[in-house]
Amino acid sequence: MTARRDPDRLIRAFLDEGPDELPDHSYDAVRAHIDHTRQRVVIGPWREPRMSNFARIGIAAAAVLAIAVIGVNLLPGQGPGVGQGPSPSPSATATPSPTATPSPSPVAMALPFSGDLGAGTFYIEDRFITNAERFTFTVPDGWKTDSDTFITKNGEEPGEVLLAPWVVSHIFSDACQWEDTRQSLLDAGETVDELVNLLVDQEGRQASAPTEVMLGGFPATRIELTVPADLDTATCTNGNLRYWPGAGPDMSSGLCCNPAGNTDVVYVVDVDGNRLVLVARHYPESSAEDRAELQAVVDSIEIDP
Amino acid sequence: MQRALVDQAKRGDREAFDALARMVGDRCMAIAYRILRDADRADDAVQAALIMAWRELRTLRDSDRFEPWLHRILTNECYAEARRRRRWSTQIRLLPMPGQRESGEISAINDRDQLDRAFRRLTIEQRSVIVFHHYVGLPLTEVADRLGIPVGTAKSRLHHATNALRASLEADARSPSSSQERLA
Repeated sequence: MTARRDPDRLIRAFLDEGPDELPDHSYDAVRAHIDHTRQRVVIGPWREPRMSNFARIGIAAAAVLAIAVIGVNLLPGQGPGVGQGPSPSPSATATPSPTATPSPSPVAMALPFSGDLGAGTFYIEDRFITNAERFTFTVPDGWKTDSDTFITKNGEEPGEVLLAPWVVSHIFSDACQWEDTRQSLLDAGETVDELVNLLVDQEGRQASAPTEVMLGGFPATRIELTVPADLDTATCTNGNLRYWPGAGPDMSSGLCCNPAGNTDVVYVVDVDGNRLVLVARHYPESSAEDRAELQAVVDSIEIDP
Repeated sequence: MQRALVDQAKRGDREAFDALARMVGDRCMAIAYRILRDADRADDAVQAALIMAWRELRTLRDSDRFEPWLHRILTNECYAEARRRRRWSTQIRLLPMPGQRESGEISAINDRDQLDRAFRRLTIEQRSVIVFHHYVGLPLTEVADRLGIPVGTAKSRLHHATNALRASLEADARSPSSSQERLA
């Protein structure tokens, strides 16, 4: 005969298991970090400490417009309904005129974990992914994010377009034959040039000539990396190309898996000495409109270092 | 004691913050591990949370609220860790466990394995609510406050998560043997 099990007690017992001490070296690492980190200066009690420049500008513009509208309406002989006021309405409630009401400012929202985004401005605040304080971009309707910080349109369809920021610490010397990591995993250094040179030399994709551009207000190098149309990716390790692991290196994550003919436009950005990598991926089947949207998203990027 | 250290740290005293971190770090590690179920990632999340706390400390208006404030930062760092974990979801695969369990092994181990699998299938937000409610021992209103979500949302997440965990135990009780797989 067995004793009857109490699920809640089992759940609590399960939660009680596991480590409950932070190792000493972790405290030391935190201390070493804060020794070189200044605290954020707070000016005034109501300042939103993490507001982006974009949002600041938007709110400031809305405030200026609102003040202007109020000022116009308070001028003698310029009350509501005069000239640009609302049309007469049977309703007792005055309806604001479209011309007198400022349209809502696009305030950035944190990128959700998954789902359709809808048209709007989104941000990522995760230095492990963007190497910046805040990474902001604007998308039109039709884009979604799926299971993390990638954003895509027509995800998992032949015409997909995709945008993903990365912090890259290592790359595989051969994107196709990447199994023996001791030989194929290369330290990508810290500068833009170091990584770009490794990308140019990476086996398994064809690289365009790097060009100097600006992205989000910071200098960047742009390079197009295309999987040769005649490459049989089934011959690659695990049947997939793999370009780099997660930063660290974290071999459990990384950028991978595009088919022959696919192109990654890679921007390696110097954000005040921190390197950010941005991948804008399109496929041969991606429509011109979607590629233009992808470029527009890239052009909308703002980076708060 | 803690409030004095917070006030000193707010004025830029790194020694005070170091002492503060050592006062709350173990608790943070325990919480982060139970949300993430991975000691290395929990360690990373705690370190990131403490560094973030140092940077943002002057934005904390009420020094007595340091720990709830830190726990919210910690939870966000756990979410970020979970996101990073999922960045290459194609790498997640089922592998056979090395060796088979002895047939006479106590059912508690099966319960634990079932709970572990069920817990990993919960969303990271549901896990957080479970941990703050069942492990930290906070009432739902306080859980909601700490996670920055409405009480109704906390209640709903707790309800679904608890049901999922209970169901996993009941399914195990009906099954003659549990699966010998784990997530890689």
